[in-house]
Amino acid sequence: MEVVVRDLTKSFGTLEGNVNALNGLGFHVARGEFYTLLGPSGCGKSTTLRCIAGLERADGGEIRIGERQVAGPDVWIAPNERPIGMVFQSYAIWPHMTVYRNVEFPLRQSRNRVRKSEREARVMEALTLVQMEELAHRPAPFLSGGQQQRVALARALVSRPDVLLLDEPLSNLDAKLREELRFEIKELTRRLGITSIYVTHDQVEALAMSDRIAVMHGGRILQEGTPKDIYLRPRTSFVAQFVGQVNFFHGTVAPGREHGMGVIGTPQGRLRCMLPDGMAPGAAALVAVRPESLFASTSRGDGAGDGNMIEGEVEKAVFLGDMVDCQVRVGAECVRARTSEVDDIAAGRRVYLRFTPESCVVLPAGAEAAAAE
Amino acid sequence: MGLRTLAPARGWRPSWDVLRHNALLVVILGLLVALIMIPVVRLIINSFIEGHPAIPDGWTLKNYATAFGMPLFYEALVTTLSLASVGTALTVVIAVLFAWLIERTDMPCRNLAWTLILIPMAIPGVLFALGWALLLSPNTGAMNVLLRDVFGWFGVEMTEGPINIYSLGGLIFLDGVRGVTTVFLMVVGAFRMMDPSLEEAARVSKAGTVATFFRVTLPALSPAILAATMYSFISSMESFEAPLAIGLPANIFVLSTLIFFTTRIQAPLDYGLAAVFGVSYMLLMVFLLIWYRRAMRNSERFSTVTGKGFRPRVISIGKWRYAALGMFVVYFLLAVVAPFCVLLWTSLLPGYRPPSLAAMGTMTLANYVEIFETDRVFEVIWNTLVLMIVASTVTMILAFMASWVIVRAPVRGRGLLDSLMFVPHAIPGIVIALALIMAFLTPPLRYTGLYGSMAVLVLGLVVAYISFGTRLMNSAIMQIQKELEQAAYVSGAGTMKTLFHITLPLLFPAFAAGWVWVAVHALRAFSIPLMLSSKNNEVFAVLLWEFWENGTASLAAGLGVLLIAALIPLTLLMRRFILQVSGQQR
Ligand SMILES: Nc1ncnc2c1ncn2[C@@H]1O[C@H](COP(=O)(O)OP(=O)(O)OP(=O)(O)O)[C@@H](O)[C@H]1O
Ligand SMILES: [Mg+2]
Repeated sequence: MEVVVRDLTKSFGTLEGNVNALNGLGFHVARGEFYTLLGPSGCGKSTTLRCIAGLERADGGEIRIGERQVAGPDVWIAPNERPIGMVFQSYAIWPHMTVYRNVEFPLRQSRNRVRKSEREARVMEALTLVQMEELAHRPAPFLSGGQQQRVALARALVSRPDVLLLDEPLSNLDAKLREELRFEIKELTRRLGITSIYVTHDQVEALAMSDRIAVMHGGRILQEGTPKDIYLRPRTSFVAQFVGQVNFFHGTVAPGREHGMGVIGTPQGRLRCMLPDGMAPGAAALVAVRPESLFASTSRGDGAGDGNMIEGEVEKAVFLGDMVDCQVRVGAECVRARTSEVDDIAAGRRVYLRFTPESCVVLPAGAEAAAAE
Repeated sequence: MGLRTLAPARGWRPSWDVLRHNALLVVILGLLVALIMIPVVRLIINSFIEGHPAIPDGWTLKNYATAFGMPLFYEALVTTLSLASVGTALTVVIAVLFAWLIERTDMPCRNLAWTLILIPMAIPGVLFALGWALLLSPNTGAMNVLLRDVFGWFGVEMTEGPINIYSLGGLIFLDGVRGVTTVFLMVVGAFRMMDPSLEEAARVSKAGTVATFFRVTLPALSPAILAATMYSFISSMESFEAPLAIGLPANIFVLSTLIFFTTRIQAPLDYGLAAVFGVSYMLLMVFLLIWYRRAMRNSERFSTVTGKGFRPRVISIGKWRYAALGMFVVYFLLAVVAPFCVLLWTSLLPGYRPPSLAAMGTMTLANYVEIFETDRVFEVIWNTLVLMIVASTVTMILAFMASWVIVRAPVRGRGLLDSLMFVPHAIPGIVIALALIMAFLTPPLRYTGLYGSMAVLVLGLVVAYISFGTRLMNSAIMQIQKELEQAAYVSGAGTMKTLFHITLPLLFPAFAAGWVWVAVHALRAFSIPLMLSSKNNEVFAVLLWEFWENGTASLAAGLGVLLIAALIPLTLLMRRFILQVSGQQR
């Protein structure tokens, strides 16, 4: 079922005064979509999710789940009457019950009460989904973190909710398990076709799992789009930085542009890039290039050619097996790049960094400030 | 259905939503507020009314004029205050000394002493007083007889005395010894957790054991000791049992017995006057408690007690160890052994006689047989059990719900509720009972017809213990992760379902500890059952007092022995629970 959030505002009274956690936040999640709220700590992700669940009441704005308005100026539907399932960061598995009882609990509540005869089949089905059917009768305290998280997922899904809410469900797990479960959750939600809203501050997780991502900052959404969009075409330097490593070159747009291709003059040299519309010559601009698009080489070759080339000195090189991750000093800036010339790169070497115009994203300088207003 | 999850809310309107969606919770809290407020308000109203509460004669200020013009009132006030201050001083000196000896020195048998010092809790105050009445009554008191015999060997002949328990000195002695266990428990933790480097620094600076104790240890622990002192003072201000059993026969009144006397003994009874005493007493206590809470808040600021895990060094006190042990033995004899033995002795004789070989020949179990042949005794035992179980269950469930609202519910006015739940703590048991009598003698509660019933007794105890229950539940609920409850809401459970299927099971250890605490106190409760007693709601302690009043001390002693036998296991159980919950397992 689709979820619509409109103009959500929320502030918390604290000792130091009011904190505005949400500032007119809005988005639209389509039916069956896996939608991720991504942002740094304290940006209001959890608050948004908790408003959708009904655990927090917004000061203003509206939330609809399917056709039904669940929160609005004159409407309030309690969490136990919303068609949702939720997975908490701390798992919140009830320690005084067995795995089975934990998962059965939602089916005993009036919202989605299921006849006793049917209940067991439903619980076992949910436990099978998360591969926990063997441990059904184990008391909850005797579970590992990963197992607890699976139980939490089964509990959230057992009542077949229309919307699944997940608040950093993997952040308490170790890296390997996290990767495994990441894949499982994605697969499961896809198979069930359930609308999912996922909260995380881990960009790798967001990129790997989502159909669409909303990058949040300061209680509002900065950019929304598919993982590719967000990664390859960030609209602000904040987004570019948050979803991965990035190098920035400050400069101004030089006159002349053909087929959208133009030139930006930077202290590191003239860079050819795709100019977005409306970038007039003389405007301040920021060129963002991801490290994996920068190829370092010790030979000058035949110069820049159709692409871009800048020159610098290796400051630090970290061997990663199939490649070397290096920091290169270019003038006053430090640039991160990758290379597969594993043998030749070492600190102190002079290197040439090549990158294509297509790999550059040109951002209007000061866009960050504009977005944050 | 009507019950839904509490909506997190801001402002007045959402609060109203919350209330609307939680009708049952609101009704219960309303009852709770009424339970505390109606009696208090009724007490105040009745202090301005002439005549019997059921047949009022109109408004008047006469009660106040009479009370404040009455020398006995001031006398009782002065006695109450001096009894409480001198008694508390005695208590604190003994308790702090024992806490230090048991916790920090190499006194022999320290572990045994730690357990023994808890036993006085199993002896109800009234039995302690009666035991000492039998030991030290001027003519036939067992201990007086013994002392006279000893003096006789030295050629000093006496016909009575040398000690008369029926005196202010006697009261102070009883009060002082009685309070030791509580104060010990309140300070012993501080002694254990005190930062040892403070003392070590003093020792390195060449201070001796004694100098270190007085110059460093005591001042460092002064916040904890101050707290315990104030608490003990407040409890002494409310004491009723010893002043009733020992004070009244000697015409020594304190505020609590003055109220009892005015409403249950003197002729004609004067409820208006008693209400004035009650109001003044209550105001005094409220004032003391506010002062206590202030002091507690300030003292938390400079705390020298750290949470570090290691135990301070055990101090060697050389040959003083045996003197210390001797002191403890004397205390234990006075606080437990002597009163219990004299009760046991008395219960085995046809009538009380000082211990002698001749008397020993008449020993019999006839009293116990007679107790169980008394018509009412099974009804009384039944009442006592009902009171114990119902009062503790009701108290803890109400406390649980009130605490949940105080800690968790997103509604306004929960701070107010928190303060309200503290109010009964400031009201002496005798005043709670008086207020309930008045409330149930006048409309609207008169129409319930509950005056003199078990229900009123239960209410009295609930009010008396709800403060403790709420405090315990508050801290227990705070320790439960919010998300465990929220997971229940999003699973479709409403507030009540969540409370009883998730929250309550999770804090069950604390709940059970509170339950046992209230049960123990209900079993030995005396002032409230006695004030509210009628022939329909007599409990063990009241029957015991009746036997005593009627001059059948042997029967009273027999009942007392039975009561103590029931209380000892419960007290040890309570201790286990409480230590477990507060995490100070030794
Ligand atoms: N109950 C509360 N009382 C006061 N302030 C709060 C409360 N809950 C959240 N906030 C504040 O609101 C802002 C947003 O909080 P939120 O929990 O939504 O952040 P988040 O994006 O989930 O962060 P994290 O990644 O650390 O979980 C923060 O500044 C936080 O301090
Ligand atoms: Mg969060």
